[in-house]
Amino acid sequence: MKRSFVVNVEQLFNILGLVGIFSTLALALSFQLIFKELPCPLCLLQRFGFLGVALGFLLNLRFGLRPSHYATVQLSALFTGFVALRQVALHVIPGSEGYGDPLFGYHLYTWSFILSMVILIGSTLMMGVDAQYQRVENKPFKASWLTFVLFVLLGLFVVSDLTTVFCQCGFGMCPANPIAGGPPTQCAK
Amino acid sequence: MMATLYILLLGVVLLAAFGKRKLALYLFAASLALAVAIFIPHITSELAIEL
Repeated sequence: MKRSFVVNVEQLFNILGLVGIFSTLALALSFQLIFKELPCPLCLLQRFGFLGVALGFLLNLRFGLRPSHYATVQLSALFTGFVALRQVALHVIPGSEGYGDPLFGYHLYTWSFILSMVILIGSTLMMGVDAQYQRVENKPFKASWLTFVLFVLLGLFVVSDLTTVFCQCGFGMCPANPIAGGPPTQCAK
Repeated sequence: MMATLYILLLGVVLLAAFGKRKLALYLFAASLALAVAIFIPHITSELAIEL
């Protein structure tokens, strides 16, 4: 198999991964803004994990395919998985309503756990293809305008989450169970 | 704490966008360590209640 073909396929998978992560973050943000569901501290940590996954994919596009970038993806996905599983465990007791509205029968944190496991397995498979690391020409992704747009999008997601965190928690600890529909503590004034 | 985490992440994104790959990776490692530090009390407090 030609190396250039392998690199193109890997870059395509990185772009698809980024699209998936951005869709997930946009969905979480829409739940927050439209349905007024304030994110809990564990939800904010899961969002951080997904942003880390997106960063890893984006580093692959910006600087070329490297194991350290895949390691960023994998560590972030593992962290997200742990946090999501912790939240699932909190609400697994029969009779517990869970946090927030379900989507297609599962709560967002359950989807978060499933997605993080899919990312973990997928990125491990992507990382395992040796041909992409051969020292012939490990050039970054050609369409630099696309990486620029993706970096801007990632930055916007980080800023939106930072605003949410600051409104909800300030610089202190976040409330354990923010009241859905209630006014944010810092920014309501 | 959480705000610090996201400020660090914003720094990582900016560093990566301006071509500072290694610095971005190191800063991300630090922010991931902070995230773990924030997460740990969520487990240990529950364990303490159960024990």
